Amino acid sequence: MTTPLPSIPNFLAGAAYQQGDMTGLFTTPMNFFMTRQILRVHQASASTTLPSAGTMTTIAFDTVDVDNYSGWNAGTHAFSPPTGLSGWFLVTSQVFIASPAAAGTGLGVQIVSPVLTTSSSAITALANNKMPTSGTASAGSTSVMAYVYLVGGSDTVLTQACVTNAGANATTNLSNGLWSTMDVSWVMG
Amino acid sequence: MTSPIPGVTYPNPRTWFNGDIITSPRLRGDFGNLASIFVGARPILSAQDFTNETLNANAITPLTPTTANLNNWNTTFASSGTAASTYPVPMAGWYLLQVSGNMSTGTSSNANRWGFGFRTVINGAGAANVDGGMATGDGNASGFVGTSGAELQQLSPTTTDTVTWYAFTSQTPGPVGIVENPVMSAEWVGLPTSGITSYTGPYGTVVNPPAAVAGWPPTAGTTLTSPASAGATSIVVADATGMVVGAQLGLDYYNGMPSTLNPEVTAITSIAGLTIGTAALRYGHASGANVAVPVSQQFLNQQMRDLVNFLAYPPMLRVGVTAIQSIPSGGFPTGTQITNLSTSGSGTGVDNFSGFSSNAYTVPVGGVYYVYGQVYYAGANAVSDYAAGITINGGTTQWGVVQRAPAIAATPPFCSTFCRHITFSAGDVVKLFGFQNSGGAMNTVHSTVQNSRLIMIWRGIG
Repeated sequence: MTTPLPSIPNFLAGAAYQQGDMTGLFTTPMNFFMTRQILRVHQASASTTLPSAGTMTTIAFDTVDVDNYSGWNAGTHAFSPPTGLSGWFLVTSQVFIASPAAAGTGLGVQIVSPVLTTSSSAITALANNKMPTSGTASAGSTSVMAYVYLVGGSDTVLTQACVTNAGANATTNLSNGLWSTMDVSWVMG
Repeated sequence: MTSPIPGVTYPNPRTWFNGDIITSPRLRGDFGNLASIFVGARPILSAQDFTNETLNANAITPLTPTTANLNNWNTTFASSGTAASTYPVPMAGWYLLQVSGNMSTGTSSNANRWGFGFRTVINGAGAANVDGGMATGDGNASGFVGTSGAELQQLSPTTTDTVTWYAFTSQTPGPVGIVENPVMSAEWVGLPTSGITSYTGPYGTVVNPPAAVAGWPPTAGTTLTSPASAGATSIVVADATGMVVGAQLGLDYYNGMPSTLNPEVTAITSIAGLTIGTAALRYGHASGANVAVPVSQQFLNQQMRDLVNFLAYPPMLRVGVTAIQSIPSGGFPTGTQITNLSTSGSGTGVDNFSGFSSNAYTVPVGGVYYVYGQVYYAGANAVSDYAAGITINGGTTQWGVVQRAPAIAATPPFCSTFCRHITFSAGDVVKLFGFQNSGGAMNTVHSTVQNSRLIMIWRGIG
């Protein structure tokens, strides 16, 4: 899909619309509204290590499920809409880790996006759960969601996670059904 | 509150009839309002609370957003940093409510539960609470706990419906913790279904399945690429753009005028690529003959009316439980399907495309869906792990939050959640699953405040 971000069509009074007119006024925006810009990625090949020191670490998603406008950067593990496709996006992120050894280990997840319309600070949607430890459930996870505004061609959104009270590094999980995910869907221009 | 786009109103496209003149006001009315919804008028509030509010002891704490990242209808909510803590919805419809947040806790946090929820006025009734995710603290002096939650509710400004987001802890006495920068949101996701008091706008119309978006007919029409004999019931054309079964074609017509001595108008009975089924032709037509393709009522109803209606009222599901369920203690990641789900369970539900039956949702239209599920457990006086997930066509369970709680004598209830976007094909079957490993069977909780539920919303073809 390469259609531009649509605007409200201006149907002029008295105009004799030709096929080309209606393609621009109707078909192109309707195609975008039906399809929308969507990213779905998950992590299935290589784990991300979350340091025991509690450092927020970017999750290196490695498998793209949907990226219909080619906004995913596999090197930075961040999504950015292409130029001309700015808008509000709903982001849902989930991070799974293999069960840590230390009881009391927590897992925090946040969505990081640099630009808001009314605030100069980064948006940080954070959740934090206590993890199952070894010998019980084989993995633990936390999820978070937020709306972010992304300027096409420049702004990015990514997912970070950290462990607390871990005592040792933790690693993200790779099994089907227990993998980390990030989903970004265009909601409004 | 004011509309971000002057004059915008609910999408409510007309049905076109034969002979209707395509005027600019009609096109604006049909498509303009829908485009406005997507370009800037879809009511959305996305806000954060930066005040580090102190939690009430063993009670909800209404959150007061201080920064509205997005408040496109300019509601009084959070617009100035000193606004009230309720969001008055500006348009009638179904609203996706979400909250994610974090709370700093104390050393006794792991003996209690912490979480977030929603307090809503629905159709003018008294405000009612409904919980999202609930978790235990980690028991550390400088510990944290955070959860997320979502709900789908039909709300309207005609009955002064509102949303308030809250945090909760069962810990007492206070002060018992601080809420840190929670993110709260409400998004209009579709027209209402029915039953709103004093509402005179349109209710949603189901279009299942919607047609693929098609180009408008070429202005000059098209041509035959092979001759058609009298009596034939099909023709082959160079371009089938804009043709719809039931509409008419003009053979040997060009620019509205006959272009040979044997012009005729025929109905389209089928479309298979460039082969167009027709009624039996009265005359023969040569290869290269002109074919007029009018912008028909059938085309406008399919491409304008039905697609607008579909996007204004996409597939939406909200089912809740109607009864308590016993969940056996299991070995992760094997779970138990959540049953007793109904559109009438634990609040007002919706299944506008009629895909839900026997505790399973059969996806009515392919595409990417927002999926939220939660399972509310009664808790146990034993170290326990809790989880919520879904299965697709009976495959490997896709798990959401998997969390731990210690042995707590008071056995407070906990709620695990699942929140993702997932791509489905039409006909895929989705079921909600739960898991706990307390060592014995554990009941779920069933009330209007504490309940298990499944929400799905179509978000695009993807």
